Amino acid sequence: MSKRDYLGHLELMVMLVLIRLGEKAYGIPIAHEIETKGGREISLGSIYATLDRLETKGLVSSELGEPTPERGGRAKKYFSVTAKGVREVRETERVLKQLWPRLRQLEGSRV
Amino acid sequence: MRSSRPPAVATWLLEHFRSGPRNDYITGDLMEAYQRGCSRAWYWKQVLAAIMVNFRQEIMAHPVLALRAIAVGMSTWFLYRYGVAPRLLTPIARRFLQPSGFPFSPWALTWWIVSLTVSAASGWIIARLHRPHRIGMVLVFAAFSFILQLQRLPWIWFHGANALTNTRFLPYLLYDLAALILPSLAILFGGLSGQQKEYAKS
Repeated sequence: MSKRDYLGHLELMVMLVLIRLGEKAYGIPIAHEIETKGGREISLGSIYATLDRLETKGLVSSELGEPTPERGGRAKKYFSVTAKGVREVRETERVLKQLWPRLRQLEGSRV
Repeated sequence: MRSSRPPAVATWLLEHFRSGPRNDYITGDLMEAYQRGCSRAWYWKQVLAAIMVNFRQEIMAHPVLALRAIAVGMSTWFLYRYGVAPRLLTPIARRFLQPSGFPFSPWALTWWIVSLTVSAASGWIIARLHRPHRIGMVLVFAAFSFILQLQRLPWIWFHGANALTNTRFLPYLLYDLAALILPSLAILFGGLSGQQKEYAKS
């Protein structure tokens, strides 16, 4: 069996948010989306650390935007999911779907 | 009234206590969010979280370097404490000053200055020896030093409790609090000095 890394919880959430936001996704909208849909606040530091890991794995790519005065002259960094990233999300979805029915059985026996 | 400028100290901390190219994007994102109405408390929370995340990442990614930074820092300290101080500095200091156990005597203050200079030097050396990861490694040693100083907590408690009823204990309490915090701050100061010289060259 080949050794491979599965996506972590936050990694998967960030990947799904990136797919949802499409192009021009950067730190603030990603954090806002996770907060709105996930119901919990994630620091920008954690999000960028996760994006950094995903980029190292080749699952996301990034490009620099234009600097704006609102940002103190600093550029945005836009992220998007690569083809490899989409495959990885699909694979994670497939594995989770296979594992899900067993959880339902457990819930049924305990409730 | 809320200022339109984000907290300058927080921005300074973010720019100096995080390593790597991500810094600029996070600072820009935080400034943008602040301009859109996020609070100062939120800004501070995000800055401290970003520094902590970076600190943890550095340790997890480079555990051997972190251990080396601690070894370098401790070696500097041991060299001073058991080499330079007893053989060179103490005899010189005895010529000019009267040894005293009072926390704020000229004798004690002189040793404070020397010890903090050594702490700053250890931070500077660590920064110079770990150039690609200098901030993370300087933070590692500053945190290690702080943890070592936590042994003073019982004394802080003792002197604090007594200072409430007798002001005679107040200097000792101040001494303990300074000994808890200042060495780590001196290490950070030394580490940043090493970094700033690097920036000036580039």
